[in-house]
Amino acid sequence: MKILKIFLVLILFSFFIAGCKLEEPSIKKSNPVQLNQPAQELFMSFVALGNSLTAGYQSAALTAKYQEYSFVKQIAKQAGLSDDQFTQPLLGWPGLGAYTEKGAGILQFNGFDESGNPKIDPVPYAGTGFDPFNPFLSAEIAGLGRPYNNLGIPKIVLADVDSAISAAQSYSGSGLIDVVLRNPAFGNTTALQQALSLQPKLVSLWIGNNDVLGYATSGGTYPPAPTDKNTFAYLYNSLLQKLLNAGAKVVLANIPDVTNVPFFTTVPYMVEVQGNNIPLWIQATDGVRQATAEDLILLTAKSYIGDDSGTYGPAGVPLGLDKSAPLPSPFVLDKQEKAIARQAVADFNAIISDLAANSGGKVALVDINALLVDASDEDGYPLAGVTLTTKFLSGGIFSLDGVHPTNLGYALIANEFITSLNETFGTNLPLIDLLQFLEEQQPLKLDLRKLAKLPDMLTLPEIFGGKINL
Amino acid sequence: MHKKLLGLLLIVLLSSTMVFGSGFSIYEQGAKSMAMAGAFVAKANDVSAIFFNPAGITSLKGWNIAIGGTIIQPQASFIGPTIKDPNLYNEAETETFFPPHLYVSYTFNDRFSAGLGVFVPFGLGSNWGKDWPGKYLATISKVQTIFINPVIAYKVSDNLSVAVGADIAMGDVDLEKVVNYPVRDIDLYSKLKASTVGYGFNVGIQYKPTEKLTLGAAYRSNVMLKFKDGDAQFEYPSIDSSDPQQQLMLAELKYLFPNTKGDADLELPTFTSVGIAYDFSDRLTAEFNYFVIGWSSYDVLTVKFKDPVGGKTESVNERRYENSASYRLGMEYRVSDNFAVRAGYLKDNKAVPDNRVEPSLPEGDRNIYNIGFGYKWNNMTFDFAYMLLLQDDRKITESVDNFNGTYKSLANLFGFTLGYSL
Repeated sequence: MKILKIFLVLILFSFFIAGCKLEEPSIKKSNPVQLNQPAQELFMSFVALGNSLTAGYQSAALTAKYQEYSFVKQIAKQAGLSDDQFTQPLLGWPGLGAYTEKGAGILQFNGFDESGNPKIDPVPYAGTGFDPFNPFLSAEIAGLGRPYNNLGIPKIVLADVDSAISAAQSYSGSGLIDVVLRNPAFGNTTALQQALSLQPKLVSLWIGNNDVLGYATSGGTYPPAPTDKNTFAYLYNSLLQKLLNAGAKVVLANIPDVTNVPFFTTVPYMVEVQGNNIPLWIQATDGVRQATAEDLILLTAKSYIGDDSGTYGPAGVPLGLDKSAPLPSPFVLDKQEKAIARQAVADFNAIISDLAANSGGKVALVDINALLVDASDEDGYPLAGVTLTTKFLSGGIFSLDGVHPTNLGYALIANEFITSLNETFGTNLPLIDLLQFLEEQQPLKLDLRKLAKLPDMLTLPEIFGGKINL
Repeated sequence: MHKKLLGLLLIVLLSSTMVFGSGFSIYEQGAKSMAMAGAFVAKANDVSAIFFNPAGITSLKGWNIAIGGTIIQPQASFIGPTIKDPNLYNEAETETFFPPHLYVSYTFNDRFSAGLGVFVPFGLGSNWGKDWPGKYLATISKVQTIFINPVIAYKVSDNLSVAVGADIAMGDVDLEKVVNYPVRDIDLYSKLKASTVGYGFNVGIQYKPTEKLTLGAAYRSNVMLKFKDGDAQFEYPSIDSSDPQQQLMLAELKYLFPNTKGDADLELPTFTSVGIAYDFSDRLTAEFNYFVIGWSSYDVLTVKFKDPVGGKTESVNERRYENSASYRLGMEYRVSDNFAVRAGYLKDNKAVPDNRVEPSLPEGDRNIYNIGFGYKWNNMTFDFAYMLLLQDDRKITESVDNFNGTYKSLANLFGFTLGYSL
């Protein structure tokens, strides 16, 4: 037995000496990035031109709470620019947005209704003190003595950048031209002129979306066609040359295909009637007919399908459910219209990438279209176990209007821009930490030490009528 | 004494849970074979043969009993993810696992032997803490399977034995992670817990063409574990109960992420091994094994929920594991009649493809070094083995989860087995 005891001691001893350890690295996290020379130079004066996507428009309105997350502001933040170094025309709450019968404020998600459908309504102006005729967040912002660094103006088309000085004198008629450009105080200058007056070293230019989206979101009705591609090429080239001639480096982004935007992909072309799926009746280019999988029913149609008030068709006939009451054309991007829109996007993107490729290294290109194509497939955009998709409401990328990104969506876009800038111009801007971003945005924090006290669950299903439709 | 031992065994069986092997298999089921890198399918000359190659028990006499276990102390770390910080160092909690083994055999006559084995051939355990950058993939993961394996062996001739056995496998899974409710960007804590029983079989053959040469082969079948009515539970964020907005959010979460039941099928892989052993002298034996785990059975893990979770009745996780092969070389040198020293080396290959590696199972290619000894005292034997598992650093750049970075891992394993024959 003695020898056994010796063995036992030896074994126990070996536990202490033989236990190899995993080596800890000397660096346990990265140090904050010091911007390199190219980055410091480019961001000495950073100006953004573009439309709603540049302005930071979200959930159908422009308002400071979300302008803070415009992708250009997020880039500026990564480059260490302060609010004074990168100024934006910040607007008060609930912001200037699309006028609907329920108001023009920003859309808000208010849970689910009795049928389990999401309740999404504009925040009313009443009680907020918001003045649409003086919409700025503060007098200081309204009276800033120089043009804003973010000159993105919702709704504008390519032709407006170098020509519009007011809503009245513009192609798009966007009311926000007056708000952002503040003419005549700024000498009736265009967005381009204001941008150049800031002597930009780097210009972000993401424009052209509305040259096809206007057509597409109106179901091919207003305007009745996308901008002509030759006109587009001419305007785009001349705009880009003016920026380059002024000595700026430029970062461009291309245009997402409409079929990857939830505004066009959320409402199914069939409705359930007494357990059967019936294709909707639509007013299509080729006449009144039943919709097919090739036709896109617009998000705006959602609240009108089945309406029998007589406003949009014969009274007493549910809209879209009968041949005599087809969904009107503005609610439908039919097969032919879709083909026209997609062709325009392809043409515009070819023009943009050609111009970028022939710029002698002074232009960086961001392929936002590819980002959304990736995110719209089954696997979505993976984020360490969270899957972002282009689905409406539950996808995480698009806001409540179905066209414009969420804060997180804009962060994804900002990261695409940063990647392209770093690759093209040799800058070393740090990417946005999307996981931390996700965490910071949460309205309720999961605290594993403190779990929720739940209300009486027996009554809960009734809140949503027994179902939630995601 | 016996009662105490039995009590200890029960505790061990109930609490045991395990770490990674290639995939999540554990081949360390006896200290003698473990000291020789598991190269044992040919020789299979103690009662742990029930696991390695049951045909080997025909060489035993009378009753043979062995009881033991393997202390496994894995360490794992992850540097990344690159989308957050390519240098961020994350260390998994160091845990100790103790898969036990128990074998009994009886040789009836010159021809027939029978045996019973209890062991834990599959398991995994990783604990990264509840709040770390990979929390949406895995926080705490545990899988374990206890196999009960009765076998019968038959000596066809003096140099040929065959055996067949049945596997009764009890499986337990316990998977935790954080899930995100995208509509409002709120996190919940998810726990899946399930257990079930599945069945399989094993066969073995042993052949001695000459006095010094032994050949062996063994096969253990798939076991389909059909988990039914497992618990899917969620923990919710705490709310300010005076805030109606927050109450609404919580109601929504509670509705969309109900505590419910879930079913899932997990097919455990096959074990196939072939080996050759040679007695160089009365004192020295060497054996080489080629061993394959049929991990390609683990393709997709689908959990079906009774009530929809997050609006979905199914959660589909693609795993796409591949068959994993190892090469095992072991040697035994018998210093005296009652004392032997052993050593072994094995090269173990990964089962999880690069783009599918995720933190619940931070595995990879390994070089594994083993030493040990055996001591005989009348009818008793005591075997001890130490194993050092060095895993190659595994740099992932194309993770399907966009969770790229470098996994590092090593493990210290200590095996011991106490045997008794009469």
